[in-house]
Amino acid sequence: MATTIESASGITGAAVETRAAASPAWLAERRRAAWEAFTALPMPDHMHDEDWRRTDISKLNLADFSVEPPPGDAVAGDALIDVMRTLRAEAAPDSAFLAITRRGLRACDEMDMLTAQGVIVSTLEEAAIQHPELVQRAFAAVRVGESKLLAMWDALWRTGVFVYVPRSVDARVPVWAAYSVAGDNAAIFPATLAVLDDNASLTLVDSYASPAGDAPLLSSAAALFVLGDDARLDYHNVQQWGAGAWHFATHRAILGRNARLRVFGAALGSRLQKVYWDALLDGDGGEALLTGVCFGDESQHMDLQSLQRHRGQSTHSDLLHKVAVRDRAVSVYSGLIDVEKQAQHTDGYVQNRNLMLGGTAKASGIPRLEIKANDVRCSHGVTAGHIDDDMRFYLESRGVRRDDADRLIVRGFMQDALDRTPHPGVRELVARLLDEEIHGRSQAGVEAPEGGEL
Amino acid sequence: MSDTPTLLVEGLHADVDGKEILKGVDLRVPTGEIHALMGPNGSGKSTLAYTLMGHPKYAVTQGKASFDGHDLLSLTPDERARLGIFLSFQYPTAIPGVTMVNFLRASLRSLGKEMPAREFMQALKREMDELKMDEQFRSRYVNEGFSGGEKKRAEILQMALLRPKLAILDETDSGLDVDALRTVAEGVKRLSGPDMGILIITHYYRILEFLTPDVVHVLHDGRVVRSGGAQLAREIEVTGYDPILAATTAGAAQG
Amino acid sequence: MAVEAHELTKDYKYGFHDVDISVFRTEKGLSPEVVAAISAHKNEPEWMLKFRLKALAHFEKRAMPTWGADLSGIDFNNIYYYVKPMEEQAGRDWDDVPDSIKETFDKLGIPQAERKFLAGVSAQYDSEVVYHSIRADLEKLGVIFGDCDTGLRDHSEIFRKYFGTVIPPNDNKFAALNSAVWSGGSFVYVPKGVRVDIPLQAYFRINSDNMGQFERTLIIAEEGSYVHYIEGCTAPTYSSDSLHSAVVEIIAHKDAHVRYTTIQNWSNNVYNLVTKRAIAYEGATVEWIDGNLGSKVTMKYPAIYLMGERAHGEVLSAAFAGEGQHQDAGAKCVHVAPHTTSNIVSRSISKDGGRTSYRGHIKVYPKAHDVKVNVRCDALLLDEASQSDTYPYSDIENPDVSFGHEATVSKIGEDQIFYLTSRGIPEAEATALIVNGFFEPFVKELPMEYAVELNRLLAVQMEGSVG
Repeated sequence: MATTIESASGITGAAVETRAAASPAWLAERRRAAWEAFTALPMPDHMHDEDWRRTDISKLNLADFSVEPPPGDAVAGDALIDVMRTLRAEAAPDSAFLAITRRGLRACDEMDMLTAQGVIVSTLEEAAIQHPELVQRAFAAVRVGESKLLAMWDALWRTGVFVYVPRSVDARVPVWAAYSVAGDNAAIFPATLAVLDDNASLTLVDSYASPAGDAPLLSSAAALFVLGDDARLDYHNVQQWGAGAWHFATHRAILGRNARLRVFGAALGSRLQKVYWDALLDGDGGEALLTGVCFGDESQHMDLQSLQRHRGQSTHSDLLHKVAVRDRAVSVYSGLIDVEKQAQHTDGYVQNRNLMLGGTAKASGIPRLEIKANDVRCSHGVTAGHIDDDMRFYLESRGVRRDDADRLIVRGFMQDALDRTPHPGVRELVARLLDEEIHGRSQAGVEAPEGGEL
Repeated sequence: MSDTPTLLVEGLHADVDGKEILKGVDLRVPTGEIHALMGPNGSGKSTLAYTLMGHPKYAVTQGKASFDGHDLLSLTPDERARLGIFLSFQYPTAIPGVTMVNFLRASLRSLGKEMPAREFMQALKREMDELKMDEQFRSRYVNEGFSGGEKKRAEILQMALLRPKLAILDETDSGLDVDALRTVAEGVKRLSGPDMGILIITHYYRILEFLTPDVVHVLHDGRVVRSGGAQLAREIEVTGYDPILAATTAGAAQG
Repeated sequence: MAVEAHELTKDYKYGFHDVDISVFRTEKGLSPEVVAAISAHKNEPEWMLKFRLKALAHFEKRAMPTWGADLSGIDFNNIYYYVKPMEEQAGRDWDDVPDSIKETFDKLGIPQAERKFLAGVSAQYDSEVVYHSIRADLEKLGVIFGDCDTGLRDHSEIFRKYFGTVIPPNDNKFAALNSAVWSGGSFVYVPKGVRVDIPLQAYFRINSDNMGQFERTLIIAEEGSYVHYIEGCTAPTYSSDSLHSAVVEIIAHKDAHVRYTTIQNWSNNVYNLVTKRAIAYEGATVEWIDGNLGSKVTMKYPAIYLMGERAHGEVLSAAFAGEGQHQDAGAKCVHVAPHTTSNIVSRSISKDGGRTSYRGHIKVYPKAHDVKVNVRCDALLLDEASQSDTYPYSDIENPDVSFGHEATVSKIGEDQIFYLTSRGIPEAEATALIVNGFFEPFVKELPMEYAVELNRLLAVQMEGSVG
């Protein structure tokens, strides 16, 4: 073994061991295997990895980050948790709420309604001990060692959230998981896993936030879902990491027969993010509707990579990704609709629309199709452009000043994506955040309530 | 001069994509009068409308245009709107994601004509009823998926709420069936009066059956070549533009 | 829709001359000695030999591409890189020619003499009159239309000025290969302000030597000129060579207009890997009309670099992949200068397990403002076995642009078939009609005789393909 003593607070084998020690045997084994894969794999490289060609993370130094918060400072993060709680109260006051920081589970409210229904809501750590088979079903969505960053997550996640909805149960209230982190050079690994049995339904929200500002932060997250036949999941993800955050996430769902998945992701924060959305339509008749809004300002780099894999017959997928970029921000969208040979009667769609609001903003779009079945309808479209002169003129001719006209247009641009948000409260929340962005107030990170500090 | 605010256009030349379309337009439309601007396709009618409203694609190379003594050409489109100028578009632009209500309120606000929400909704309902527009149009996105008739009605709806001093109607009659045309024309008529000047740009006579013009101008090859009373429009209806244009050329030739 | 025989044959009078009686050949495989021998045989100047050798070094160093079609079947050591002996050229027996090809010739009404040539049975195609008179007319205008060997020899100054400047040897592995062993191909120079009204057809000068594996074409259009160059033909063309790696460079100066039409229908043993690129200067227009019907594998992405303001690029691509074929084609437009525009239209059909891929790249540089780009790709899959891919890359680095890309993949709509069959048209014919209509945007850009041929060829391909 190494002669130097590894700190168990960095991204190190020692930290993995600490977690493994607190995990049941099967999970400990998985963590160790993931760590081994992590150390063996090279960091993604924009020179050699096609997926990372337009997203350069060479300035990211994993050694800078700590997975454990500074000792003793127990109240650090409480104010931030309150901000998260307020957001959730604004959007979904009836939801079951879990607040997670590096320190672990900091709040767990309003579980009763769901527990009474037989829904399991707990930390992932707890569920790994109490319900190993269920948790393993979700973990099966990721192959250990698939990629370096996912392996890092696989080895180092803590706390996390697990939800299981039994057969034919419609979870009466949403589950809202708030991951927050404060402090410099923190590393956090949000982990939300859910298994929906046949004909079950659930609304789930993951919100990520750190204080506004440039504090370096590393987030490597995963949200994994397994949907049984006829199950329905509405998943929302609101990302508001501060402007110094590196954010990597994999959101993946496997759909059974006639299952329905609706995903809504709002990406407003971080310095650089690369997020994967994978919808694997394995069962016949499955449907996946994926919607994203993204607002990049300053030097933000926002990269979304999507996969719509059609394996079953008569499946339907539809992705809409609306992006606005200004200043020096960069948006990258790369997607694949993969229709396997036997997946007849597939309908697959992708739309990526980029509104470029000046400065030296950039947008790249690479929507790919690989179609091996013929009785299908697949199409994609990418557009990139500035605000339409005719739209501006029309509004101005009605007396609306240019700045106001532009704001109306940008807001209107995002509307069809907002219209697709499954949960109305989340829709209003994101609409409000977008309005702030449109008025020039970046939503990367959250502000303290008046007079406070986070 | 009288107190009547007047649109005054003198020797206006304008280019689009480097090509000169308006070649010296002279026009005078006082508030309280209804003028018709007619002419064959390609004469520059819509170009004049867009130029007066200040569309960025149209470049004025010579001449003057003012309203109520204020120079128009140095103003942005929204400043011209605040002067009281309104353009009913021939092809109203769709603004995805922006509801009619939000749009109208933003416009009224910018024009200093904001009203309390309840009053606004009442006014909106009233005007929509007059134009036989279905209530649900309120929450539709501006001009998105509207049929031709619905778009034109929506333009006149805006005119009704914004109450301009000068309304330029660009081919408001095009694409409308008889009933829609009547509704729209009567809407305009209802709004007309001593405080509003109206310039109807049209190719055909139809709308002028409902809105009798005080003066009819004929635009040809970027210039107003003839002006007359309402009967000039009837003449065009019967004989077409050729005889009138021939007479003008002959007249010009004779110096 | 009966096609008159004369419509098909009238332009087959355009032939070529130049009987090559050389029996020189290099041995199989590639080495500096082979390259030097080629250069020596052609009596090339020193600079060209150096160019070739440097290109060879790069070719050997460079790895095979890790993307695109499957090229594992290419055996670089088993190829003659230069002129084959006459005996071997004429080695194919008419009896060996597959019946399907003979039938296609019948249906297309290809004249007898031509059939043997196209089938690789005859080494020569002999018809000269019209070609020579066209040449005289061109010479009067100052237009040069010959082959690159001659260009190098007789017009060395212009040739050297432009050769290898659009596609340098280190651009990609196959450009390097071509740069090392190129032979044949056309050299076209159009002086300032000259408009060449008749399309210049490579077909004019074909003989086995020139219809070679490693053709190199260089087209220079001076300020304000216009030229339309056509290569290839729709009839199935046999080649004993399994690797064709051509390079085409076009330079369109200020306000020039160049249209380059290709219809490729190589036999199913050919790997067709082509690098084609144009530079368009201020106000210039370049159009690539690219039809891919044959070959086992084609990898070809005509490109236009819009270097001058108000330049315009257009790519119209049509691909048909049948059994065992992979057409990996596309387009690339790079906007370096502001106020530039480009338009790409791609139509492809796969059938019987064929595979079509569209691979495209649109790049708008930071200084290129007021740019408009439109890309539209449509693919039809005619049966369960076939495959279609789309890989469009767009990098927009200036906010003042209007960029749109749209692609669709589907099978022929039932409604369309129903409509036609309800009017008494049998299903197979209905499918053929729809396929024709699908390729219409491409076909209508071709000179009439090509269009007619292509439509007939498509009809032949569609026979027996009831869905």
